[in-house]
Amino acid sequence: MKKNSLLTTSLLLGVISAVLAVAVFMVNSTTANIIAESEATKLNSYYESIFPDSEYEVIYDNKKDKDKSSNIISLATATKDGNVLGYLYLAYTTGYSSDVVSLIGINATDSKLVKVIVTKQTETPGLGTLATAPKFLDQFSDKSTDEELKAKDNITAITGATITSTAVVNSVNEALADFNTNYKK
Amino acid sequence: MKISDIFKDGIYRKNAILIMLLGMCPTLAVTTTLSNAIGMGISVIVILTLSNISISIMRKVIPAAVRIPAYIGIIAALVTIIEMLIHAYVPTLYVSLGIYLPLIVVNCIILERAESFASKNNILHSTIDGIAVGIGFTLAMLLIAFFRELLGTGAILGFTILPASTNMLIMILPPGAFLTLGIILGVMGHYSNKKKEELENE
Repeated sequence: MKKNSLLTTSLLLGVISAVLAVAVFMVNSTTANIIAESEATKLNSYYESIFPDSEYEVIYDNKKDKDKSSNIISLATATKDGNVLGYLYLAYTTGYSSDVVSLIGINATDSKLVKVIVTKQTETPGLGTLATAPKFLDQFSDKSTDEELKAKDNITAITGATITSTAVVNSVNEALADFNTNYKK
Repeated sequence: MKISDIFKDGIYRKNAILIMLLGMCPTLAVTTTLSNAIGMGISVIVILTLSNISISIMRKVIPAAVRIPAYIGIIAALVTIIEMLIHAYVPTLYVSLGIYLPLIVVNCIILERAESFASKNNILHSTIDGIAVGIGFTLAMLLIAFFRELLGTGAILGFTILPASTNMLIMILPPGAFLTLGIILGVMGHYSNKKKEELENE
C-alpha cells in the first residue's frame, strides 16, 4: 500500500462505520415501536397469569420518574369489581451477566406473595437460567411479606447459579419493602 | 476450489472446536444441555453464513490495513440488526434464541472465517464455507452437550433416562466442560497418532 493512501484508508473506514451506524439506526427506529408494543402485551399476559380476569392500571413508572436509587421499574394494581386484589411490581437486579427483571405479585388482602415470574434476563443458558424457571420461582408463592427472604436460607438457591438466585431474591425483597411501607393494610 | 473440499474442511478436517480450538467461550458455557447446543448451533450457522456473505461482497472495498476493525464493525452491526428484527417480528423465536445472539458477537470463529476465508473467496464459496463451518461447530457442540447433559442431569433433551443417583453435578458446571472437551480431544489425538504410526510403518 502506498504511503499517501493513509488518508483514503482512514476515510474508507470512516465511511464503512458511518454506513453501519446508519443501518443499525434505521433498523432500530423501525423496530423500536413494535418491540415496545410486543413487550407491553407480553407484560399484560404476565399480569393475567398472576391475577386473572382483572383490570390493570400502572400507578408508578420509573421510566418517567427516573429514580436511579430504586430498582423498581414499574408498579401496577390489579382490580376486580372495584376492589384492589393486589399489586404487581416489576423490579430488576443485576445478576451474573445481565439485568434480571422479575414481576412480583402481592395479594393486597392477606399480604402474601402470589407469584414471582422472571420476565427478562440473558443469564448463562443451562445454569443461571435455572434460577428463572418455575421450579425455583415456585418457592416464593404464599410467603408472607413480613418475612425477610434470603437465598440459601429460606429460599433454596440453584447450585452453580447463586448470583442469579440472589438477584431474584433481592428484587423480591425490594418489592416487599415498598409494599410494606406504602400499601400494607 | 472444490465445494466438497469446503464441506470436508468445515465439518471435520478443520473443525472449528475440535481441531482449531476456536470459539471456546460458547463451547464451554452453552453445552450444559443438548437443547442449548442446538439453539447456539442454529444461531451460529445463520450468523456465520450471513457474515461470510457480507464480508465477501465488501472484500474489494475494505482496505487491507484496516480490515480487522471493518470486519468487527460489520459483524457487530449484523448481529445487532438480526437481533432487533427477530425481537420485533418473530418474538417466539426471540424467546428461544435471543440469549444466544449476544454471545455470538464475541465468537472468534466468525472473525476467523471472515479473515481467512470470506475476504479471499467469492460469494458462493463463502456462503458454503459459512454453512459448513457452522455445521461442524454445531456437531461438536452436540457431542460435548450429549455427554454433559447425560452425565450431569441423567437426561437426553430433557427426558430423564438415568436415575438421579448417577448424576454428577460437576458435569453441568464449568469444570465439566473442560473435562469433557479434554477427554474428547485426548481420544481424538490417540486415534490420529495411531493412524500416523500405521502410515510410518508401511
